[in-house]
Amino acid sequence: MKTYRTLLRLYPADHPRDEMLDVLLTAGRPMRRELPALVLGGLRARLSDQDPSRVRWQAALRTAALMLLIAGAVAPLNDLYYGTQLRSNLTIATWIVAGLASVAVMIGYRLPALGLAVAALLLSGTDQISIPATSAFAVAAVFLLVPGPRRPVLHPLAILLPLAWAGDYHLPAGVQLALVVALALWTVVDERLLLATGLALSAGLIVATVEVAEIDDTRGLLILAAWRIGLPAALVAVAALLLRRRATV
Amino acid sequence: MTYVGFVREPTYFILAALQDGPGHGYAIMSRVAELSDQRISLATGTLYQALDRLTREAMIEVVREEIVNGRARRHYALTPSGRSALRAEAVRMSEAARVVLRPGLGTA
Repeated sequence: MKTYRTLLRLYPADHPRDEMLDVLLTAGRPMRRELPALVLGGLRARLSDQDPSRVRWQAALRTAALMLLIAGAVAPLNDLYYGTQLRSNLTIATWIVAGLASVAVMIGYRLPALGLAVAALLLSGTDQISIPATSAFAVAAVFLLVPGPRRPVLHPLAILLPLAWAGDYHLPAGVQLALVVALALWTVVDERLLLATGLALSAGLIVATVEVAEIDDTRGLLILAAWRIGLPAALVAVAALLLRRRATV
Repeated sequence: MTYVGFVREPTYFILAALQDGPGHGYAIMSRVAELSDQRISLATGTLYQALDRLTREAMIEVVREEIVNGRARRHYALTPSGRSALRAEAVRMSEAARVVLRPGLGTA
C-alpha cells in the first residue's frame, strides 16, 4: 500500500489518487502487473496529455524552434575546432542574440523569440559564420511564426540533443547513443519531443541543397537524401502517428 | 461532441461496461473482463488514463461521489454522445463482421 501511495504521487494533485488506490487494493493484483501502466499514466497525466492534437503540434514546433536556436548558436563552435577564427564581434553578437531567443522560447515568449531569431538570422547571414547556423535560425524563425498558447519549453533533452549535434564527431559515441535511447524512451511517455526532433532536423534540407551542388555521384546524392530528408521525415511520421493514436478515444 | 472515428478495443469495452448503468472504477474493470471473456484485463493505470480521456471527450461523466473505507469513490455514466459513439462503433463492427460471416462463406 505504501508503494502504491508513493507511485500515485506521480499523478497531479487534482487526480483521483484515493480512488485509484481503492481500485488497486480491491483488485489485489501483483504489483509488477500494475506498475508499468501506473508509472506511465502518472507521467502522461503530468505532461498536458489532455491537450488536443493541434496544441501538441504547436508545442512540438516551439520545441523544434528551441532546438534549432541552440543548434544554430553552437554550430560555429565546430568550425572553431578546426581552427577557423570566428571570434568577431558579429559572431559574439549572434551567440548572444540566439541565446536570448532560446531563453525567450524556454519561458514561453513567442513573439520576442521570433524577433530575436530573425535578428540572429540576419547577423549570422551578414557574418557568414556557418551555413548550418544560418539555416537553423531561418527554420526556427519560420516555426516561431506559428501561434499557440504561451507555454514554457523546459525539457533537458531539447537542450542536450542540439548540443550533441554540435558536438558531432568530438562527442563520445556512448553519449550520443545514450541521448538517442533517452529520446526513444521519452517517446513512450510523450511523442512531442520526437516530433520536434524530426522537425528540427528538417533544417538540414537547406544545408543539403548547398551540398547537393557539390556532389556529382548518384550514390552520394542518395545517401545525402536519405540522411537529410529520410530521417527527419521518418521521425515526424512516427511521432505524428503516435500523436494521432494517443488522441484517439 | 460528434462521434467521428474508431474507438480502441479497451475503450469500447469500458463504454460497453457502462451501458446498463453507472459504475465505479473497480466495477468497470470487472465488467470489462467479464464482457470480453477475460480477454481484456485492464491495469488500474490504463483504466484511469481511459476514464480521464473519455471524461474530457464528454463520452462519460461523473454522476455520483461517495466515501467508502475513508476513500473517495466516483461513479461514472455514459453521456448521450458516449452512448451514440458506442452504438456507432457496434454497428460498424457488426457490418464489418457480416462481410466475413455471411452464410455459406468461409465457414466450411
